[in-house]
Formats: sequence, C-alpha cells, structure tokens
Amino acid sequence: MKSYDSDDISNNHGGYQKHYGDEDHTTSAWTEHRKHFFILSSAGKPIYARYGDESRISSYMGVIQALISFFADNDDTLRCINAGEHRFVFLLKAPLYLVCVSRSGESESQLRDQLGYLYAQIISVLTQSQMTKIFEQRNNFDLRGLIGGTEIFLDSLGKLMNTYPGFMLGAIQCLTMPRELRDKVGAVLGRAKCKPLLYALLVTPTQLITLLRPRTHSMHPADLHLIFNLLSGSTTFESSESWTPICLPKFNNKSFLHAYICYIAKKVCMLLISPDKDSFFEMSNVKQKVVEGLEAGGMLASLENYAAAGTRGGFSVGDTGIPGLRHFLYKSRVNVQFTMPELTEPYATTSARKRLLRQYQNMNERMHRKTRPLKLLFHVGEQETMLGWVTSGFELYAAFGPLVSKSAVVLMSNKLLKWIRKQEDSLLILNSPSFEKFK
Amino acid sequence: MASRKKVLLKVIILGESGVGKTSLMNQYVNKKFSNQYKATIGADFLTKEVLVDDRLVTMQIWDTAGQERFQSLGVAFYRGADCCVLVYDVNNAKSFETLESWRDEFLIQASPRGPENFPFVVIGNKIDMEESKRMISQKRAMAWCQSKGNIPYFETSAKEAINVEQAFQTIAKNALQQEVEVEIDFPDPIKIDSDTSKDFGCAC
Repeated sequence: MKSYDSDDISNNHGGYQKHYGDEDHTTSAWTEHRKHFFILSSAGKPIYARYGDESRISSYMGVIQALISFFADNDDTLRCINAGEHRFVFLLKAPLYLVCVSRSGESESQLRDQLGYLYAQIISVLTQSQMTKIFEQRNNFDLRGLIGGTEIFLDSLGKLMNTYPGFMLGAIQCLTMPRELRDKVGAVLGRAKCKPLLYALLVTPTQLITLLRPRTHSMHPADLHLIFNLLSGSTTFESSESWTPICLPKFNNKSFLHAYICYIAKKVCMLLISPDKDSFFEMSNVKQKVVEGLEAGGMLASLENYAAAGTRGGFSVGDTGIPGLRHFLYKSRVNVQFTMPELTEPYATTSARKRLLRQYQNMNERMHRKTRPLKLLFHVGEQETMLGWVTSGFELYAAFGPLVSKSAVVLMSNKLLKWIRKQEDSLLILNSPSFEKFK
Repeated sequence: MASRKKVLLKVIILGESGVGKTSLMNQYVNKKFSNQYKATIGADFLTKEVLVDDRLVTMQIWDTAGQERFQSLGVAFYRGADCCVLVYDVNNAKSFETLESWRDEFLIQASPRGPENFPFVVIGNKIDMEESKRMISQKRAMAWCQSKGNIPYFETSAKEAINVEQAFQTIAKNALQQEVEVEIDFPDPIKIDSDTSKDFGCAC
C-alpha cells in the first residue's frame, strides 16, 4: 500500500463537489478524522468513502477485503477490531461490505447501527433485489456508476448521525405544536386522499408534523430517517415539485415507491408516497387541495411559524421551569418518538453539541448493554452530571450542571417527567391518524 | 444520473515466489527497482490510473505472496477479478511448469463467469539475465499460452523496465472487457392491497 500515480484526478461528478473529496489520504488531515466510513463490494472494489476519493484508497479497500476473506475461509465473520483508541467495525451485507474506523468513542453496536443506516441508504436508491441481481450477474461490478450522484446522501447521513439523536434512540422527533392544530392539519391531509396515495407526510425536514397512513401499515422510524436525510441532504427539493423513486427498506426492500416532494411553506415539506410511478399529477393535485385546505383554515401561516420555531428547537429547557437542567432527551417507547429542547448554552456550538450527543450515547450504551442492562444511571462527568432512566414506557437522558447532588437530580427528573406528561400531546404525536378515519 | 466515474479494475498477480511479481508492480507503478528480495506477506495493493483507448481507468493491483498459495488469503480474496496475471521467471523452469496449476487454482477459487473467456496475461520476467541462464524459450512459453486459449504473452525485465509498460497496458485493456453493462430493470411495483399488513409498533 504505497503509492498512487496520477495527474488527472477529478472528483467533480454529477455536479456535486464532494466535501473532503479531494483530501489526500496520505496526509494527517485524512487520518485525523474521528470517524471514517468505507463501503466496498465483496470483490474489494471501492464504492464509497466518507473522506477522500474512494478510488485513490482502493488499496485500503483491498486490505479490508483480504482481512474479511481470511476469516470467511474458516466460516468466521470479522465483526470488530479494537486497536489503541481506534475501533474498526465491520458490517458484512454481501454483496456489500461496510466498515467504520472510528476513535469517536461510540460503541461497537452504535457504529454498526450507523453502518446499517448507510446500507439502507444504498438500498433506498437501488432496492435490495436489484443490487443482488446485479452482483449475481457480475461479481466484479463497479457499483459507483449506479449510485453516482447519490453520494451526497451518504455524506449527509454521516453528518446527521453525528448530531441527530434519532438514530441512537431509534425514534423520530416530532415538531412541537398544539395538538389541536396538528389534528386539523391531519384532517386536511386525510380528506385529500386519492387512490394511489399510500402515505402523506408533512415534515420540517427532520421533524414530523403529521403522517397519514393506511390502517394496516405504519411507517418504521428507520424509513422515516432515510426520508429526513433525503430532505436535509439536498436543497434541490426546496425549489420545485419533485418526483423520485425511493425504496423504503423496512417497508419493502424489493421494490420502489414513488415520492412526490414539495415545500408548501418555508421549512414545511410535503411528501406524498405512492406505489404507482405514473401518479405524479394525481399527487400534485392532492398537494394543491391540501394547500388550499390549509390556507382556507389559516393553518399554513401558523404551521410556518411552528416550523420556524421547531428548526431552532421547538421549546427551550427554560420552559420546564427546572433550574439546573441543561438539556434532555425523552423517548416514548410506545410511540417510537422522542423530544428534546433547543440546544442553547453551553451547547450552542457544533463541537459542544457533538460532545453532548457522545455523552448521551455513552449513557445509552451503558444502559442497554446486553450484559447487565441498567434501569437507572447517575453519572458525574467533568462538564455535566447525567441521568439515564429507562422504563418500559420511556427513556430519559438528562444533562445537569456539574455540581448537582444525586438527590437533587432525582427530584428534578421527577419534576421534568411531570412537565413532559403535561405537554405530551404537543411534544409527541399520540394518535397518528389513518386515512380510513376520514372515509 | 450523474456522469460515470472512472471504472475500477481488479487485477490479480500470481506466480511462484521470487519470480518478480512485486518488482513488476513496483516498476510499473513507482518506476523503481530494488535488487533486494523481500517476500510479500499475504498481499500488497497498489493503485494506478491508466489510459485505455482514451478512457481513464483505475487499476487496483493485487500482488500476492508466492509461497503460501491460496490457502492463507481465503477463497473470497480472488472474487470479482477483472484480469489475472501469471508471472514466471524465464531462468527458472519450475516457475514455468507451475503456471498451469496457478491458472487452474485461480479459476477454481475466483470461479468467474465464462472461465474459458476469462482474461489472463502471462509474463516471463527477468530477461535481463545472461542468455546462458535462460531455461524457458520464448517459443515454448508462447506454445503454452496458445494452448490455453491464446493468452497474451510478454517477456519483461522489471529491473531494466523492459516491456513492463506494454504488458500492463494489455492487462488493463483486457480487464476492461470484463466491464460489460449489466441489465438494469425496474423491479415490479408494489401492490399494496395484496401486501400483508405491517405494524412496527409505531404510532405513526
């Protein structure tokens, strides 16, 4: 693994200038990234690298393939290598191999989950059946030609997983807004139903406003995360009506659905999902009806206001009236949803936010460890005191100032739970409506 | 869809230990040669961009250890290769005689589609040595290559950089022929009514 010889390296394909794409893998800037992702075919051909040009580091891909192959010969599977402060995590999903090399402190299972999301992102572009078929035909296939132009979404997923706790929690975030308004908006969507419409969603791009579904089908949070990533990964949807095939792997990994995507107000995006690839104009009509319905009820303007507030965080930790509480994550296990306040001081900077998420991840990992899982965890850290609390109904992770006593934390946490209960129906979607309700 | 990226070709180099596989690769990629022999441990990987018929491709060269044969790296290692280079030393009769088993083993392990048409290239290396030491004549080597379905044959010197560039140019060109388009068709649409109901326990 020594050299590279070229004078014409162009990373500019599909109009997307990959951030970090020109980075030279022989420099310290490349090696010092805290978390690398690599995706390769099981033949060892590069498909994607989070940093640098994946074809330049094809030698590394070869090494990865050789390591995996060595163990595969003994019917063994390489899962994780811990070397100093680095952790190498492998996810083998033949015909793809996914590898993370990280010194972020995240656990093996957390990193493997993230690799699973990257895999799902690729499936959402190709479908599982199509990908399997291609590699059955040609195991030397260079997949980059087919996923070309969608690397932007792998990049954005990598970024999102560093800041958005939904992946760790396996839950989605809802836009904080009064239940009454949410119900009314849902009713407008419900009444606009046409035959090929499967799901109708309003999102902010990463928070759910409401979701209409058939009674027999729910939507898996993992699929919703892919949708959130699609919207937050590219600004292209903000300017026009879009129509795109998308495979939602948890819904059905063998086929495409088709998504109509259109922003109906600032930060308010409508997604209409249909199994019928020819239903663009029907979906466009649905949107028209919904927009008219929302405008007539004066709802669009207030939606826009809540979406703007929601993008900042929806509510502030001060709203809870608990001094000493800095931030928290609350997940309703029944609803597979979570809520959290705005990230304000001392978590206003990106690096502070990342650090806080790592704290939450450490707590989460410790509490859900297979051997000796915990129900309650009190942790005094250098910069904050943390509480983790897991019951059958909820998970709570809360950050307090560094000098708070255990009894004070317990008292404040109980107070916080009471506050959440009271606000629950604006923080979460407790009654997700189905289309049948509006028949 | 976005413009196509440079295609990447997987090239595997096989042959007895000491015939100069690593030296050939180093001469080709780094334009360097060392007289000192260092056995390759397991495998070594190098990348080079080449222009083939006005098309820029990336060659991912998998240099293997001669001594340990296939066992150490695992069957999957050879999967999805686009070209296999068989190297022997023209001054070493045994290294020529084992070419057949290297070829057979590659075909077994890599199990390519259409093994009879899989591109091999044979290289007789170390032609810089004095003529009296030569054990395998060009005629004999070419006859063998011909009998195996007209494998292209090159005589090279990694030390003196003779014919190395030409050999790899042919390797790249033949490897590229493996890159045929696959059929892409849209999978059947989902029929919602016939789908079994799914509930993930999510209220949404």
